[in-house]
Amino acid sequence: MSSFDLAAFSDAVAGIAEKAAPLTASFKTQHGRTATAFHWGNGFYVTAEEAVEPDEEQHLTLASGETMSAELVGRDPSTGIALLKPERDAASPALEKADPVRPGHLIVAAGRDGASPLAVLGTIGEVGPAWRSMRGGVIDRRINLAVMAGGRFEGGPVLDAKGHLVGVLLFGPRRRALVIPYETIERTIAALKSKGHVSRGYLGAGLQPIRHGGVQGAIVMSLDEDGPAKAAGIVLGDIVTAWNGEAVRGPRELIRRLGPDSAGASVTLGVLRGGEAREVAITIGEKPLT
Amino acid sequence: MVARHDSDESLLALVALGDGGRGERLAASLAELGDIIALTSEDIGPGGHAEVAIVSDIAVVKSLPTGTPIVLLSDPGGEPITHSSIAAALRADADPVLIAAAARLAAAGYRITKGAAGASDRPPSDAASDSDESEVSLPIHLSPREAEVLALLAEGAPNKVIARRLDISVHTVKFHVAAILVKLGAANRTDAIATAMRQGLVLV
Repeated sequence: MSSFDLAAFSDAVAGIAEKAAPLTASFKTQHGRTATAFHWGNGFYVTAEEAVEPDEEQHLTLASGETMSAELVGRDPSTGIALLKPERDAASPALEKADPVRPGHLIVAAGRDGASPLAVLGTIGEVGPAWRSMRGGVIDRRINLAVMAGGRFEGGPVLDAKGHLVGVLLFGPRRRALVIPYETIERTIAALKSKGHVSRGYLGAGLQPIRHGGVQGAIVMSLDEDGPAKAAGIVLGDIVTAWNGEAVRGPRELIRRLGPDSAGASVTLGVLRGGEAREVAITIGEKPLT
Repeated sequence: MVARHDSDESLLALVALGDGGRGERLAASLAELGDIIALTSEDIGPGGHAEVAIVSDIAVVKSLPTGTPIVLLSDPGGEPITHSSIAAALRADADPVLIAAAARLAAAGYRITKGAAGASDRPPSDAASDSDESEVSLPIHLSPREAEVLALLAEGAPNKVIARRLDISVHTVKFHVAAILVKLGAANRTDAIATAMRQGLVLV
């Protein structure tokens, strides 16, 4: 093994951070903290949906030090991504897409807090297959980080050793840092740019979890008179226990299936009515995901 | 009680924490959030009036007029304290936003029971709690107005739009939204809608 030059390694890490710094912006979150956004391309900035207070006017502090108002183009709670467009195009470049990462690969998470660029070194902690978020969004790869990134890094870019973009940093349960990968961002912002929102599947039913004896499911407590559930013949008190033959143990699992890709789909729900199992064919409706 | 919040009158809150420095920091945070004036025991003086008291030690209550609602900030692991005037109990390190919301609710006569306020560190949206369908046990009671606000929140309406639709002030909308977040143990609006969907409060 050739000799390891710590100073050169250190400079290489700082170089990655330095290259990303002009693309980062910071903004105030709803609890008076700051979070990061970064330039995606053509004047659009990507950040974490959870950090953006949808009701307030957005202000981004760009790398130039300028603070300017920004339009919230749209937000997608199902993938955790929000898209902002500051009023003036900073004309910064875009980051290149990273090659697939493996556990153990070094990453640099970049961020910004006002005038200060931020950086932290870590590794890819876990790489897994596509997964579905709690609001039904399909996340193309599961990427968890082993990195000591504080709240200011939320919404910031995660870069590989070449300085290419792995994805955006978000916090999952127990503030575990995870990455929403490049291709998921790409897909989401295409939808946000065209419609301003993403859709969710809609049943038109108020559901509560129920567990009684061996039965576990989502019991229908209320119905939208004009909704798909009502149209499909679902009645109050029905317990939804399956979605296309796969068990659904409660509202949480049902909601997870009602992601953007479910809108308009034909689905067979397994339903218990008065203790009798039956199947109900339903065409899933569509609502804006908020 | 809603009428009071329609006027832009500030809430007078006594902040008396055992640790003076912590009290000052909380008072500053509350002042920054707006419409809460944090007072110390000296500011109020004997027999003075506060609409709500934020305390770390229940003994302070003796110096207050009977019935002043109390938001108790206790250290985790401490002895559980029960007192008829305690309207809400939060951890000492709770977010000032949450403390402010609890103080407003307490002053308005609400009592926040454990299940609701204690659930705030529930994980946000992710797959980890896949099989956890166990939220059955927490009945959540929203006022009719809160239910209306929640329905509009779920449609993605910003505060201004909700205010216009319900013909109330934006200030009052913010008050209702804060109450909804506390009752649902939600960290933000998105989280509140997700929880409400799982609890049958918003149509799925």
